[in-house]
Amino acid sequence: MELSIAVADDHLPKLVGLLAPWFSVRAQVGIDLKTFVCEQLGVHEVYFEERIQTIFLDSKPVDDVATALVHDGSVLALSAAMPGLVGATFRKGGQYSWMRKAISHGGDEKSDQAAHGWVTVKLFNMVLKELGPGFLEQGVWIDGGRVQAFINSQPQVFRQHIQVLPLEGLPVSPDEFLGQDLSDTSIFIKVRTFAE
Amino acid sequence: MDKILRVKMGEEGGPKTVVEALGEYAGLGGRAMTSTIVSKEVPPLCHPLGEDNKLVIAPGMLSGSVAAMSGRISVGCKSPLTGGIKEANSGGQPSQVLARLGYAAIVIEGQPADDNLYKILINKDGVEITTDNSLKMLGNYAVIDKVKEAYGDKVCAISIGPAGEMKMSAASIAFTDMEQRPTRHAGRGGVGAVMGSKGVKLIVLDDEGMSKRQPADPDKFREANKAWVQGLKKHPVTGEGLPAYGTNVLTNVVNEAGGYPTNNFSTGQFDGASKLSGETQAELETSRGGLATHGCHKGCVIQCSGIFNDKDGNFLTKQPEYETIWAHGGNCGIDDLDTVAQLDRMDDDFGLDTIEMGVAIGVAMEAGLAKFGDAQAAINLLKEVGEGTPLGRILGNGAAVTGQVFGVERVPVVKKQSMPAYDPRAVQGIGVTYATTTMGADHTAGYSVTANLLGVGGNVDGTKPEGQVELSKNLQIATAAIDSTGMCLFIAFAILDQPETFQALLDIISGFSGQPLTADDVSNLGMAVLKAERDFNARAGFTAKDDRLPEYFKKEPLAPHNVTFQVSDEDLDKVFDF
Ligand code: SF4
Repeated sequence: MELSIAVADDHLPKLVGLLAPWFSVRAQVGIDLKTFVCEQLGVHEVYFEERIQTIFLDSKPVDDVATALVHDGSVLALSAAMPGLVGATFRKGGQYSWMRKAISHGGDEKSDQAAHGWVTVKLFNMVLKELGPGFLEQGVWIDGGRVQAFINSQPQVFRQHIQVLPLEGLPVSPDEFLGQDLSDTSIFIKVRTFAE
Repeated sequence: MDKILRVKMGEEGGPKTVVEALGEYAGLGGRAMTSTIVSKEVPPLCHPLGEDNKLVIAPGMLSGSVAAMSGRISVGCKSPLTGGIKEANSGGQPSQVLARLGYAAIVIEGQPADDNLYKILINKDGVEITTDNSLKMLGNYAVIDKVKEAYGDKVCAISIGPAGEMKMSAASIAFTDMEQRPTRHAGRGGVGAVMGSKGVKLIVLDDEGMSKRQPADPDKFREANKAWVQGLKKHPVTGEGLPAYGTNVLTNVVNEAGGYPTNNFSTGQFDGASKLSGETQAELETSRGGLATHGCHKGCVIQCSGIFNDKDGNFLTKQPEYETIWAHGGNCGIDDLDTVAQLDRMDDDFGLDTIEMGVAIGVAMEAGLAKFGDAQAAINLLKEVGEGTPLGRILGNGAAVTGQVFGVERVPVVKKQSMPAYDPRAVQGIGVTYATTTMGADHTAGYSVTANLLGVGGNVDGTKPEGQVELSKNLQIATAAIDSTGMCLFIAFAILDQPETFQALLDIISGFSGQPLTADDVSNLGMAVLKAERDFNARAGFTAKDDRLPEYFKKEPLAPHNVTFQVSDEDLDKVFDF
């Protein structure tokens, strides 16, 4: 199922909660992490280098973004710099990285097999806030039950600012959308904004 | 801060107070003050709840000045939980106020012959100690209501709840925050039980008529403080992450790493972590009219705290910290922020360390007293602690006692103190600090700046076991030094990443004291504190055998990475070879 949500532009940031705890993208895989994030996810290189300080690939903290390869089925988590000594140990290539050496990503053999695949993406903290709106506008895959739960959890005033439109179909009201059983359905969601 | 207040509880005819000059303790503050006094004056083999133990409360060196972030206070004694030396640290208003009243420390010693409860009032006119049995078994919130009634809304207070009166090893000491609520606690090691054993329920501090402490070199101090604040504000952790989400920003990240101890350290990832995360918490707090950004004392510019309102928008508790949310949340399989906030409020009211209580309840769940994830059962268990039922007294004496009573092997403690929210199998470097710190398992003991910055030990190769040990040592030295200044430890990463911000800190201290200060001086201070603490523990009977993690960390692999703790005992023994 594919659908579009239209929302007044100043309400877009409130929708980033849709992306937590994770969403999926279909993209080229078999490539290194940096290329994947910058070219497939469209994250600006400077942002990637400076802002994204903590990266996990399949739960392993990554230090070398050029040797860690993203595969079909990978889980990729992106975060800003974290507080505390333990927070600092997770920083990519940080001076405390040895403290969590036992779980670090050791890098992969280069593969020539670039193909399309599914990747689960988790955005945390400032990164969620800053990249979330862009991902929503770009379109991502989210479990339908979670989308319904998110909309349900929003105050009525906010729900008035949302229009749910099946992509290339007839508009349905949020209530009609919420009435469907979508618990096991993955939905491609794209958010459009309009000036209020 | 040119005097020490001694409160002698065991004097004939009732408690007496004596004000002394600083003498050999001149120039010390915070942890340096508490650990030096305890190490010199407390017989290491004394009973922690007996007349020979002393409770020392000391503002940081810079407290009472306008230096940003300088309002942390240290509490020291021989710990009833660990049997070793203890320094527990808290935010809140009392550090600034006590410093402005001119006291570098309050030392409570001896023990009253009677069962009365005492209240101490300290103001510009001096010190008054009176009995007040109307406070008996009151929670901290009710105590503060009485303080407001009697002394108005400008004073601040240090108090214990029923747990301290019942001398439980998990009892904390509460410090009021900017809103005069008892939400900040010197939590660890049972310091509240020592205050209870002295018969002191409440200390009221009133600095009306006193002025801020003035620096010796006002120009240097002012400039340095400006650079200091700028440095903290521009760093992504102290200027953005902590203010926006608090320490709970760590939940998602530590969980993703597989280092989030779940269901009493039985696995490293919790399915409900996202519901407990700082991101979810900030959203919830603001949607209910609370605050996601707030300071625990005046002068904090990072503001990692917040205000947590209940579903009806009424104040419930301060924003629970990462450690609390983990201990009462994921560690007990609970994924509901409202439950965790309620448990936090109960801990604050009863006067309990949230980490110790969360871990003790986790051990109780493992023992079969309740099911992991049963929020109501956790609330009921904590109520028993507040009421002092036999089961409550077991839990209130911490995870080690609880594990022993119920025959549980998986008890995550070092020196009988519960481990905080990072599994040492996933982050082995933190395991070195848990094992070797003088305090018992403590995440803040080896928290902060690098060896290179402080010049203690040169470059460290952390990829080698001896490098891990070297760095843990250096971190512990640096932490002891910061704990002595009154600065909040969260400054650590701004000074780690920004040398000019570290320089600003040195300039603040030297601008304040009028004495030159180098990085070496700071590390020497930290080293002296650790040596005094190690020396106390050695005389109290601690040996290398106590610097170990529980055996199961070496045997039970932790999912999802299936790793065990690998640092050898020989390497652990090298941490304190200076
Ligand atoms: S950063 Fe947090 S803990 Fe530190 S002083 Fe500020 S509010 Fe208190």
